[in-house]
Amino acid sequence: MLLPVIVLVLRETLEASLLISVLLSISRIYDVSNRWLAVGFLSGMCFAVIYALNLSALSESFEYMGQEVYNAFAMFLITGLLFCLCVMLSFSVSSKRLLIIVMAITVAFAISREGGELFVFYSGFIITDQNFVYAATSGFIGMAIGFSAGALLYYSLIMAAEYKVLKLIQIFFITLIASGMSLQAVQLLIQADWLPDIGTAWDSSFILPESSILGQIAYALFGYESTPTWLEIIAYGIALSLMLITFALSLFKKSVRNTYVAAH
Amino acid sequence: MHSVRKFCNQRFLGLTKLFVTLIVCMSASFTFAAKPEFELRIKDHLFYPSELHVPANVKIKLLVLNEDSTPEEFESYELNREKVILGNSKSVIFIGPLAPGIYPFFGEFNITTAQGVIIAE
Repeated sequence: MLLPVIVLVLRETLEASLLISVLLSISRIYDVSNRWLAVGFLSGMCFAVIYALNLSALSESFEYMGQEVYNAFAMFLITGLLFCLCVMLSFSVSSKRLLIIVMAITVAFAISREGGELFVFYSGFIITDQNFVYAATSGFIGMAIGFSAGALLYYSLIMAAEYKVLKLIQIFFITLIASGMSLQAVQLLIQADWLPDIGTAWDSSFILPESSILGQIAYALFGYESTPTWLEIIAYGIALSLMLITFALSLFKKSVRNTYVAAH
Repeated sequence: MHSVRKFCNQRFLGLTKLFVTLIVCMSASFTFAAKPEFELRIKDHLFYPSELHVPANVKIKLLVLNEDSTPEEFESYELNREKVILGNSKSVIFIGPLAPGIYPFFGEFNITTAQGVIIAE
């Protein structure tokens, strides 16, 4: 009873927690107050409740494909927002206001998806009036482990690296998370039959099973799938290349500027 | 000049017609291609049938009926599927086309009891 609930809540928490810790480290180098996190988190919780309460209507919409469509939309939106962040970091955009708006919306959508599922899960215990205390305690433990993993990542980020290297690592993590999100979004659209399944690319479940702890962390960090379809790989490749091209352009611009400054 | 424009217009019209026909055919094949339907029931946190035989290499439509009052999440790593099925309601999950093989699935909200396999053959 206890362990499955811990694992379930941990899985839902891990992804959001790792994302938040990377965003927090960005917030630190830009030296902005962390109020954006509170705003994003609370509005995410509100969205989660609204999502859970309307899940019945949502599920039946789009010929029973509403869940997939909404979640894919949310994930593409997060991918887009993370891409904006990548541009801002690469080109050292200094608008703090834009930065906190982008980060708050990202957190709100990330929390709304995962939080909504947790609300639905716990509603089951409330309906049957069974084991709610056990489930809540187990859930708390799962959440604590998830947030600890996030805290660990956050402190390793800000302690291990200098300012310049830290920015590179942040761009690296954001690129991975965003590419993973776009892969999952495409997977959902395949599940909804909006996109065709053009075949499985490979099966790496014997090396790293998705159900293992490492597999779960890899899933949360870069959208690891042990049996991805080709379309998911294409989506991943597009997102990854867009981010890398942005970063390469910023390097090119910098080198041009440096040459200009050196020449004059 | 006029005849050139007329020729372009006709050509454009022809291309448009071809394009529309293609779109209609494609959407028709996507929407109306009959997918074999299968039914999966959830009762007392168990799947019925717990072993579902489906044809390999075709996309199938799985109708999931949750007869419990509590929600369940249909999940499978092997099938790459994850979907919440609310209590006393039904939903649809498209699966495949699958290569012949055994694909385990489970109910994430009641993982200790809700287990099953899809066998593609």
